[in-house]
Amino acid sequence: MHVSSESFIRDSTVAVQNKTLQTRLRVLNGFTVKRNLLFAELPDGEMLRDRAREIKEHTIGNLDVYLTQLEENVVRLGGTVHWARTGAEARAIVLELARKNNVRRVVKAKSMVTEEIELNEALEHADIEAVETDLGEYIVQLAHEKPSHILAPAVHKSKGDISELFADKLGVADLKEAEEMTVVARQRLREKFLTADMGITGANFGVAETGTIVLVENEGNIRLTTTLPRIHVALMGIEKLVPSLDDLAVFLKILARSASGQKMSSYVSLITGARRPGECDGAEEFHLIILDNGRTRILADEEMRESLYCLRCGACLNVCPVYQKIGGHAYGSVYSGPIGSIITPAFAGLEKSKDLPFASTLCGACREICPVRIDIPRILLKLRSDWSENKHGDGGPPLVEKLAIKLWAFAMRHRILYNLAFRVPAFLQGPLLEDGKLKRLPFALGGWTQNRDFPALARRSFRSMWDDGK
Amino acid sequence: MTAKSAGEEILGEIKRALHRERNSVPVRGEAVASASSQLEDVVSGIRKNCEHRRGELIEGFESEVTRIGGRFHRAADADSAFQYIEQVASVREARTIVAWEGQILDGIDVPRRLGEKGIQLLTETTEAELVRKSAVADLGVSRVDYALSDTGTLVLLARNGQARSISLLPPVHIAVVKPDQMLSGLSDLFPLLRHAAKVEGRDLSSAITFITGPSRTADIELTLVVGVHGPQQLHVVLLDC
Repeated sequence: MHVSSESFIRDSTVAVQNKTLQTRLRVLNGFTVKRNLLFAELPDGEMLRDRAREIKEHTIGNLDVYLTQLEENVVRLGGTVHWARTGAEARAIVLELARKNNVRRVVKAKSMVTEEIELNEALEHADIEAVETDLGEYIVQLAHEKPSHILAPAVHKSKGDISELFADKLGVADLKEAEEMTVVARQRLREKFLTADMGITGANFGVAETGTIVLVENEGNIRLTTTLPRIHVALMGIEKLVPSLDDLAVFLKILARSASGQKMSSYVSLITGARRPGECDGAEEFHLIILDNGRTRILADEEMRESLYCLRCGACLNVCPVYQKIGGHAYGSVYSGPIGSIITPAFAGLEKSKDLPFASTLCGACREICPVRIDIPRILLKLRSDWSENKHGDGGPPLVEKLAIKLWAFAMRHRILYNLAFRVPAFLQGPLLEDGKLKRLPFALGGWTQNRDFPALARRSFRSMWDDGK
Repeated sequence: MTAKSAGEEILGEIKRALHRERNSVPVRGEAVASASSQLEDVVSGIRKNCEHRRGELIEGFESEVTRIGGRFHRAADADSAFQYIEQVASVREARTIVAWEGQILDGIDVPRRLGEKGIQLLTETTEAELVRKSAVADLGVSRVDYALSDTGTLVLLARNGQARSISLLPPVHIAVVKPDQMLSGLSDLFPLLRHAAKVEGRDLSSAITFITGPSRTADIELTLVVGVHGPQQLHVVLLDC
């Protein structure tokens, strides 16, 4: 997985100063408001979340059995199952299928996994047109950008931006309203659907018991992708399984509520193999690519394992005070926000993304809203600790910081030293104070105040006031 | 390296990660209603309950369909249902329709009667034509297999004569629902689907589609727009007779 998270500090600093971006991001709060209302009126909402988590725990804990069952069922139904250890293997499988079937044009549904393995680039490189058909993804693809939100890929763009983009790329000028732009996109994309040779989707769930792939959407582009082209290729991470249809019911009840604040998305498709004899539409060939790409490594790490429960609903992005200020692009990874800050290091390595676990206030809003209750703050702390202990051999914190922390720890254990350590600076801080705050700490401490103010030290410590009170 | 070896390797990695010695059958805490006698009981329980609560379920269904932007019409008989369909066609100035095979309304040949009003049924003889004709038709008319009250959802099973394109490609979709298709929600649906597949000795339908309101997007500034890729209008006609 390609990441540019090394420049997180620089990119997030730029994003934080981008007021238009923050205006755009503010709309995401609408999702959270609707989500909260729907969960409040769902009598067993909290129980459903517990149930969903139990199902994930059970399925992930028996993943080999359920994956084997899924494979058997898909094959029995006449579908083909391909296994891919890496993104490169998955890309090669898709390219080989395209070559064998003389595929010139591919229509794509929005899929995080295909973003993760950068499938579009590979297809284009092989001279195959790959068209994103989700409206937000289509906009982002026309602009040669990356999606900035799991659910609303083009949330960073304004109506004006999109109007200019459509004028420039599609030759349709002066579109004012979202409705008009949508009509233009519908027409352009309908032509693509009717002439595509292959449809590529992700998979929200795979049902082991029946060999079914489940796709959840609002626009209808996924239905078109699985209905019109001759070949349907679905890519699925190994973790996306549920054992049975009854388990699926639990997830369908919480997914749309968490993602977009809907009781049910406009369309849910349960695809079980290719079309059967006598049917007049639907793909004639069905291929399922089951992808590892680092997931078994996460599975082996018991502290990280629960990050595989993620449904990719995007709810944690919408409530995160950091995401709300910087948007998705600054994270430098297809997976942004709180969940991205734990899975990007797991996929791409902490050495390439060491700043992400620190891009959090640890407020816990993500854990509160997560439909399967992933303890994101705990994992963020674990990753911080891994980095500071240099577990991944990527350097860890600078020597000065390590020394300072050691001194701090020593002082914490020695009362007199601790009192002194604060009383002296409290007297000396005077010349450094600006508006009652420490905005520029001297020397090696300067790093602390590069991006934030340090509150002035109180003249008297709480401890000494407490003593006087007695 | 063959594809199979990649699969074996991934499954091996999973076993190592989970410290599993061999394939053991997962044990689940709760009873799974898959044993056929049990399933039989569950299904007859669901049917009875839905019949008993039918009035309430229909009311809930109507309010959900309307809330999510669908139009709901309750027809006392097939004639009144046909009049509604005709009215929708006339308001939309429809000239062509595509429809599921077989009777949409009991005792009324919908395509023929619409034909008398100058609306042409685009019948297909080949599969390529089905898609091409659905793509240019003004109306798509279908039945449903089930309806879910608590979310206002229509459940359509793809099978011979029940093409997927008809509820997807035309700008307007009219679906005819019968009262005995009404279920309370997903928890009723899945046992029934499993039971139906078992009784008929086949797998799940190749495509089961849940339709909840018209096609929608909020990808531009989170402004709701209907009819992005699928139908802009969804009409649900409940044939209450």
